Amino acid sequence: MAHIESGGSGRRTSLELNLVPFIDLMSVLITFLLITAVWTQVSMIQIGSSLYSKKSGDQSVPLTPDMDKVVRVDIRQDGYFVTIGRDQKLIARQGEAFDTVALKEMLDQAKLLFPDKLDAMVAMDDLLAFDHLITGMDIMLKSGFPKISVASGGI
Amino acid sequence: MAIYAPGEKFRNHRLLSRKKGKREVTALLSLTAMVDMFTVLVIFLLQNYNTEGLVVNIPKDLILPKAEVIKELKPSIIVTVSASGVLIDDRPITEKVEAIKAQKDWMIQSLFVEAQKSLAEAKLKADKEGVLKDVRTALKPEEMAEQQVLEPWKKITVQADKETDFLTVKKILFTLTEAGAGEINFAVLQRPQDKK
Repeated sequence: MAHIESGGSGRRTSLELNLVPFIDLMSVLITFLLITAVWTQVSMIQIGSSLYSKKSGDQSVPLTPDMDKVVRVDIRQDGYFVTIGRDQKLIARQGEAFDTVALKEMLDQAKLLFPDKLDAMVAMDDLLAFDHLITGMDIMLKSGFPKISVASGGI
Repeated sequence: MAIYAPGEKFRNHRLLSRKKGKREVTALLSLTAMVDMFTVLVIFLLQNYNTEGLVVNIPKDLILPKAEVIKELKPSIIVTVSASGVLIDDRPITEKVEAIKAQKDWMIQSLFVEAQKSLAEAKLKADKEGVLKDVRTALKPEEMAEQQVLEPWKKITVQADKETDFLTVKKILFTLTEAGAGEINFAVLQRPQDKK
C-alpha cells in the first residue's frame, strides 16, 4: 500500500492508497491481453488478374490504361529478364541472390515512361522457389503496378 | 507496501500501535516500480491489440515468404502447401507434394474434388448470409449485378512454403481455377518497409 506519513513534532497524519485492487486489475488485464495477442500477422499479396482464370464466354478482361505497353519480368535461373515496351534487359544474378535493387530501378523507370499503366506480367522458371516470385511481385507492387498477372506458360 | 508479521493488526504502525517497550520493525516493499511496469505493459498490449484480421493455422514446417506491399487477409478458402502435404481448409488431400511435382498432368484430382466441395460450402454459407442483403437490394438490379460479378465466396488464399518449387504452385493454381476459384491471393508475412 502506498503510504504517506507526515512526521515531525506536530500532529501526525497518514494517507494510505490501497493499490491491491489496481494491481489485481492490471494482472488480469495483462494475462488476457497476452493470451489473446496475435504475434505473427499473416497478410496477403494480391494478384490483380491471373492468367489461370477460366475464360468463359461472357467474361471480359477489364481494361486498364496503357495495356498495349508491355511490362514483364521473367524470373530465370540466370536473373531477372525485364521487358519494358520494346526494350529487353537481363539483370544478372549476383551469386545466389537476385539483384532486387536493379529490378526496382528498372521498374521505377518503366513507371516514369508509362505513369498510367497499372498492369504488369510476371513469369518464373518452374524449378525456382516460390519465394522469388513473391519478391518479384512485391517489387512490382512497390513500383506502382498493382495489377499483376502471373504467366503460367513458362518462360 | 509494508509487510507486517502475523498477529495483532497495526501493531507495528506508528500511529495505531500501542506503545510497548520492544523495538519496532517495519519492512517496506516499494510497489511503484511494479505498477509502472504494469502500466507500460498494458499500454503496449492495448496498442498492439488486433480486433480485425483472420486467424489461420500455419503448420510448423511452413515458412511463409515475406513482402512489404501487403493487404489484410480476408475470409476465404485456405490452401496450404508445405513439405508435409497439401491441405484445403485444414483437410489433407491424398497426393503428396513429391507426387504432385512428379506428375505430368497439371490437374490434381483429389484437390480438385476437395476444392469443389469447399467452394460449394462457401457458396451455401454466402447465400445464407446474403438473404437479407438480397432482399434489401432486390429493388436495385445494378447492385445485384455487381454482387454476382464479384462472388466473394470464390476467393482462395494460397499459403505456400517459400521453398516450394513454382511448378507445384502452378499445378495447384491451375487445379483451383479449374474447380471454379475466382480471386487467388498468396499469404505472406509482413516485412518492415525500407526507410527512404
